[in-house]
Amino acid sequence: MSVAKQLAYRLNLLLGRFQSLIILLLLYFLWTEVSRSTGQFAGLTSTELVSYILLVHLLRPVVFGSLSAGVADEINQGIFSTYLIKPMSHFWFCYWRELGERTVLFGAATIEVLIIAFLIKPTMPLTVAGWGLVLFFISLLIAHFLYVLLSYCIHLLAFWSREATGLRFLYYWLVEFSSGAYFPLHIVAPAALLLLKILPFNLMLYTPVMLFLGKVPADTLLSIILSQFGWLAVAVILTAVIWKRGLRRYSGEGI
Amino acid sequence: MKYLRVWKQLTNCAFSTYASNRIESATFLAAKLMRFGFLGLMIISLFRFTATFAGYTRYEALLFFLTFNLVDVLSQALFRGIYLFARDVNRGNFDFALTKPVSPLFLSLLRLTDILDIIFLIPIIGLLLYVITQLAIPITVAMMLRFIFFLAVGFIISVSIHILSAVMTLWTLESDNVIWFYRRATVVGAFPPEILAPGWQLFFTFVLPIILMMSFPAKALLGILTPPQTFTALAVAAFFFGGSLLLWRASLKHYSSASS
Amino acid sequence: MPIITVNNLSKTYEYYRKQPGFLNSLKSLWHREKLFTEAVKKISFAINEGELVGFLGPNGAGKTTTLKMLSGIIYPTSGEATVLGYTPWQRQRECQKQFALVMGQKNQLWWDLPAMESFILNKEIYEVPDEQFKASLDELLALLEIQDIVDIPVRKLSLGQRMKCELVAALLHSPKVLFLDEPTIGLDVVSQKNIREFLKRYNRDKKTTIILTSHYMEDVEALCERIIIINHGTLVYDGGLEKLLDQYIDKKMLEITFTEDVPKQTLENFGAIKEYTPQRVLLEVPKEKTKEVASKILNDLPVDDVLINEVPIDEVIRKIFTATK
Repeated sequence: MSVAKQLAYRLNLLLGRFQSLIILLLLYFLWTEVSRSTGQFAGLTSTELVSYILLVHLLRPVVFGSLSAGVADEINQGIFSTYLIKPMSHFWFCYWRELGERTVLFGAATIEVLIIAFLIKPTMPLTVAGWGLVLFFISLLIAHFLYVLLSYCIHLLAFWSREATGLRFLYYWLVEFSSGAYFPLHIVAPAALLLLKILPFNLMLYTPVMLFLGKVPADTLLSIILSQFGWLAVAVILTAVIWKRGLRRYSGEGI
Repeated sequence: MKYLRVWKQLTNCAFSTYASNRIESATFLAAKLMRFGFLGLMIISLFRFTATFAGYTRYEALLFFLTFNLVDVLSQALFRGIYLFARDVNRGNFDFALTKPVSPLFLSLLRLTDILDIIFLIPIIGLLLYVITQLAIPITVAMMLRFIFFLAVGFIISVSIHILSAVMTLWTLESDNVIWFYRRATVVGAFPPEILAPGWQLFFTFVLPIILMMSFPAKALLGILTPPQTFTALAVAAFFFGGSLLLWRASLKHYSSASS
Repeated sequence: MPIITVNNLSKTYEYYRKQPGFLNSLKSLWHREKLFTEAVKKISFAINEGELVGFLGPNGAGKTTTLKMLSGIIYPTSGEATVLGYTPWQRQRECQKQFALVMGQKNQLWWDLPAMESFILNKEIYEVPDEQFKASLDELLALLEIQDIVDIPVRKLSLGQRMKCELVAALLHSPKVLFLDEPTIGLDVVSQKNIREFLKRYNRDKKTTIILTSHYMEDVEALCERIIIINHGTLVYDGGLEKLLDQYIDKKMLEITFTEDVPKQTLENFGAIKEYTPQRVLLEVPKEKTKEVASKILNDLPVDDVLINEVPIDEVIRKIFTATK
């Protein structure tokens, strides 16, 4: 159903892809420009920079999603009640519903990256192998669920306030930048980098991509994976608490 | 005069809505500040590793960035209503607009003026003035006039694009993805256009004239705009504005014959 | 000279068929099947100043489409119409200043704000002078008894209160013509009655021409001397309510109670049995035979009481709707 719905909105799909392609294009030109004279920038070679943004483009639909039909809207409009009587966890219902859309977008992103890779022929070095690749997939999987859980929490805030749209917007931009989708996080000044590392969002794109590029020092690998698991646990607990409290509040209003 | 009064009351309404949704307004403003802050941080960080960026110095790059914000925030502030246009059409509010003795285009474009965005313009203009004083060239009146003139040209293009978005909504009756697409794509204007390959520069000048809207004012200020470029900017702006108005009229006719 | 004329007005909609399912969605990317519906077919009528006319018809009959053409929201496929001497879909400002539209299922008031803000917006849009605005506002608020709710955000109002505010917003510029699309839909009985009384009074005092659509018979019965019935896009009746009843009601209902049990077979000879219990029966008999049948029953059977009733009006309307399919 959600795959069909996605395709019916041809224009929207097309525009959505076009939009991410423009960002990709901009970033491609930006990072090749800054590394043109010296062949490297901030510890990454031109090729690595291009690999970085291509990977980000490919992984975006894996990590970032939209909870397509908008859980918050359903709560505000009272449609949400119909889920409560269904014998299925609401979280997993939303998760599966969104997966269809993610698959389509991931398919599109794969084709796009292949075409671009063919056009610009980057000599993408597969520097990681074996355990490195395993770590990359583990960290990607955690990134995926971390994003889903946190965005689900943001949507559930609609239980408390009709005014949660702004918060979702804020979350969108926060994640967009502090996940490293626009720039490799380590280019910023040390103080800012420390802040970005404290936030969980760097684990969503920056960390998996750097793992893939083999740019993570071996001695920090363990702490990175541990912090990913740690944040995942925090997100699970947070979701459970918000869900429980929110539901009590929702039924309390008697909608 | 009448339109000014209607606009005043619309803005009044919008402001009261904001006042009654304080958390929402605050978070929206925070989100905008965040985008501004991160993009700014990105540009400043670039200069930690290089002295010039696409041939521009740090303050020149910031001039492009702040001009981008000025045009972007100004059109955001005035034409926020377009983001609600699909909803208005689907809920039938647009039908009411059609029965009123006032231009439906005017009502739809200026339905919601965002006071917070207008307030946000103040620090942007402040920073812009600071950056201009830091440039290596002397400040002249002619330079400022050129800047303001091209800001106006950019603003006209921005109006046209918002009209075109409304046109798309009237044809597809679907959500506002066109305007969101435009909005995400404008980020191209935050950086000096020279980073793009020449072909793409042409694309963002003629097809999706983001460079004209957002980079030309900065270039005009720096005095690096050639007469042919100036002429091009005016021609494209006139073409977009005229075209969008014609299309709007045609779409209104289409909507009126197709809607139920 | 009629204030509204409608001549052979027609409207055909185009739409696309969309099959459910993944493959069909994929297919619809390339090819879509075009279909047509004739929502309104060659309707003609004229309305004089000060009339209160009811458009009656089931859902999807073409009432709203006609109203939308008259208020200039949509173009007709063919035919002509004038409102106050103007062609409505040319949307001339002078014309638009003289009519108003209220739709029961849609609202023009700002949802998050007190209705007062929307009133002021309409004042500016219709260029109503300050004194006139104040006078009409006071009068309308008093008539509808809603002086105390105009400062409350619209979303907090009940449906009935909201409808009253919608009416105020529409009438502030003292329009000569008022179009109402299902003004009482979804309202409780008391609010329906209030709105009806208000409309009746407003029409009488201001001589405002009012056209209202409804699928509630009560609205039309209480308000309109003239009704126009539309079904499947065609005009099936245009005239007074009385005449309609004369024309379509050819039967009366006899409600008889007996002092002792009467078998069903005995009663079948007198007319069509609508309801039956051994001591009570509801009979439908041709209008001209009513007296005859009633006296015969009185003579032949152990009658306790006889009541002669009209057939309920909504039943008549239902009959017209089904007869004109």
